[in-house]
Amino acid sequence: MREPVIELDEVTKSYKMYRNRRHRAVEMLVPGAPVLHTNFPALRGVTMTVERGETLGVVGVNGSGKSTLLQIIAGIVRQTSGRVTVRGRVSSLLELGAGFHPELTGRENVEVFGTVIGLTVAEIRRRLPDIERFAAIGEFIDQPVKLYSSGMFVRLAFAAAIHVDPDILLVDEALAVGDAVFQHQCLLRIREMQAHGTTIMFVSHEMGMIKAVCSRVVLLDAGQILEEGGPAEITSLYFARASAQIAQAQAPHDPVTITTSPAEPRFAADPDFDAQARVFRHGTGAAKIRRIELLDSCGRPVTAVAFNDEAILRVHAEFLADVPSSIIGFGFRDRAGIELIGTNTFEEGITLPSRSAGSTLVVDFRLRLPLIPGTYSISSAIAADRYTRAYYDWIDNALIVTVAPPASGKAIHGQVWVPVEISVRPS
Amino acid sequence: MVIDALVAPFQVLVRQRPVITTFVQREIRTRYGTSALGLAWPLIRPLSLLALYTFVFSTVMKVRFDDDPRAANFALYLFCGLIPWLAFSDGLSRATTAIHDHASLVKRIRFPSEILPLHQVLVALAIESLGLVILLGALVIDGRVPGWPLLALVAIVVPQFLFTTGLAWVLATLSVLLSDTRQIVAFALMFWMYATPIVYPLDMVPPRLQWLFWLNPMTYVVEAYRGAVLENRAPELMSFALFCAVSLGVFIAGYWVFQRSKYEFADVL
Repeated sequence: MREPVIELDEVTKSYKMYRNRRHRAVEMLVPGAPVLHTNFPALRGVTMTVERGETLGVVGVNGSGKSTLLQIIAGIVRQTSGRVTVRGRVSSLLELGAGFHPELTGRENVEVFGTVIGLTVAEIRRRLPDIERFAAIGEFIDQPVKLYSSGMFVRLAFAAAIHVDPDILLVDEALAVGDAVFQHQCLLRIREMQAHGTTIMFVSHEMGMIKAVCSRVVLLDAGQILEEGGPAEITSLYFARASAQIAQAQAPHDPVTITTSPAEPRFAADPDFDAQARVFRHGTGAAKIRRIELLDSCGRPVTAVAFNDEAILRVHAEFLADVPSSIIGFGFRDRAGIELIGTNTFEEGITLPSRSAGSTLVVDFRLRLPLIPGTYSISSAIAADRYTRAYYDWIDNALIVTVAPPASGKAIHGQVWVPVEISVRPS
Repeated sequence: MVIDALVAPFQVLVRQRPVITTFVQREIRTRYGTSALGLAWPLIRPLSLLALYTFVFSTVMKVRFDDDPRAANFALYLFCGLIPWLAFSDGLSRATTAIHDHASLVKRIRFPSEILPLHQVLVALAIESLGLVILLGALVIDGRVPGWPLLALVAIVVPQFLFTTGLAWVLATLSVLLSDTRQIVAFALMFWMYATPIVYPLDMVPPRLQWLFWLNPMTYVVEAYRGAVLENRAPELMSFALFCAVSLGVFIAGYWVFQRSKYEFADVL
C-alpha cells in the first residue's frame, strides 16, 4: 500500500544575504528602501515523495542543500516557494541535545525535551526507563548535564530523540557520533523503527551507513535532485562525482592527464609536483619522480577508494642520467606514520629496463587496499639496486588518499584486513 | 477568518500548556535553583531597590504619598508600585533576548518559539507574587489589613500579563532581526520607569501633564495595584475595561508580529 507521508512540490528556498547588518535594518525599517540583499538559493525546485515506512537517504556534498531540505520538512525553516505536506509526528535529530540545559539533570532535560516534542509529562515518565537503559549512563541520569562526558551527552540525547515514537524521523549526521557499540545500538534501534513502519529520512556522508539503512537514495547537488535510485547505484555515483571533483581541484592546471587512457599510460610530469614534494624529498637526483596518481580499477584518477577495492598506484619517473638498473617502490603510511603496506618492483620480481638520460618510465602498481578506513600518506622512491643505500629520489607524503568504509557495512578490526576462511565443526 | 486571528494567540496558551509549564519550571530552577541563596534572590533585588529608593526619594527628597510623612508609608506605596513594574520590566528584558538564548531550540527542533518570550513573562509574574506576599506581610505588621478589593488583583494580573506578553513578542521579534533592540530596550525601560508614578505619587505631577501619564498603561497598573492593596479601592469598571481592551489589542497584535517573522528566525540566528 503506497501512502505518501512527505510530499514536496517544486520547493525552493533562498536565503537573503546582506553585505552587513545595517542593510538588513534599513530594508526592514525604512519604507520604500531599495533592495539591499542578494538571494542565495539553497534549494531550487525540489519535488519528491516519501512513502510511509520508507527509509530515504539524502546524499550530496557540503552545501548541496541536504540540511535545508530536512529543516524545511521538520518545519524549522519555511520554504520560499512551493508546497510541503508532512503527515505525522516528526522527530528530528538535526542536532543532538539541542536545547539541553547544562544546569539541569539528564532526567529533567529529557522531560523538557519530551514536552517540546509534544508528549505529556506522564507519557515521558513512562518512557524514561527505556531511555535510561538505552543511554546506559547509570547514576549520571540525575546529575547536571554539564558534568557529562560528550559521549554520555550524545547517548542520552539520542536515546531521548528516538524513544518518542515519531511517525517520521529525520536524521542528519547524528549517527557519526558515539563509540562503535553505541553506533551499533543506534542502528539496531533504527531497524526496529523501520520494522514498525516509521518513515526515516537519513542524511549522511557515510556511504556505508546509507547503503546499510536506506531503501532509496536521492543525490542532491546545488539544491536540486540530481539522481534518485537504489542505494548501491546512488552511492557509487556519489563517490565517482566526489573523486572527480577532488581530482579536478587538485590538478586544475593539467586536465589533460585526467583523461589519459589506462591502456597506454603516457608519461606526464605534474608541474606542481616538485614544489609540493620539496619538504619531504631527498636523493642523488639521477632520476626523479615527476607524478604519482591513484586510479580506480577503470583507470580514473581518484583520491578515495572503498575498502579492499582494486586501485592502481601510478608512478611517473624521469631519468636525468644514464642508469643501468633501478627499483621503484611505494609505501602506505597511516596517520601515526606507520607503514602498513609497501613493496617495490624488485621484490615483486620485475626488472626495470636500463634507461638513458632524458627517458621516462611509467609504472603501475595494481593492488587492493584492505586498510581500515581513514587517510593514508603515500611514499615513493627510486633506488639503484637493492644493496646500495643510494636513492635516486625518495619522497614522503607524495599523495594523500582516503580509504572509504566497505560498502557492505562490514566493520574492520585491526589496521589491515586479510582474507580469512572460516570453517566450523560442531561436535 | 477574523475570529481565528483573534483566537489563535489564546490557543497557544492552551495547546502549549505542557511546554509552557516545563519551561517556566526550568527557568526558575536554572536561574535560582543552582545558586546558594536560591529563592532568596528574587526578593533581594526588589528589597534592595526598595531601600535605595526609599532613602533617596523619601528621606532625602521628602516625597510623600497620601500626605503621610513616615518613611514606612512611602516604602509601602513604593513597593506596591515596584512589584508590578519589576514584573513588567524583567519580563520584557528577558523576553527580548529569549530567542537568542534558546537559539539551538529554534534552529534545530520544530519548536513553538512563541512560548519563549511568553514563559519569561510568566516567570517574572511568578516572582512578583513572592514580592506580593512580603508586601502583604508588611501591611499586616503596619496594621492595615487589606479588604475584599485585594481580590481585584487577580483581575488586573490577567490584562497585565496579556499586555506584557504582546510587547514581549514584538521586542523578541525585533531583537532577532536587529540586535540593537537589546540596548534600546534596557535604555527605554529606565525612561519608562520614571515616566510611571512609582517613586512619586501621580498627584505630584502638574495637573496639565497628568493626561499624558494616563496614556501609559503602566500608570494604570500601578494605580490599580495601589488602590486594591493599600487603599481598599477596587478599580472602576470603565477604566478597567479600557485597560483590558488595550491589553487584548497589544496581545493579539504582538502575536501576529511574531508569527509573521518566526520562520525567519532560523535563517537569521
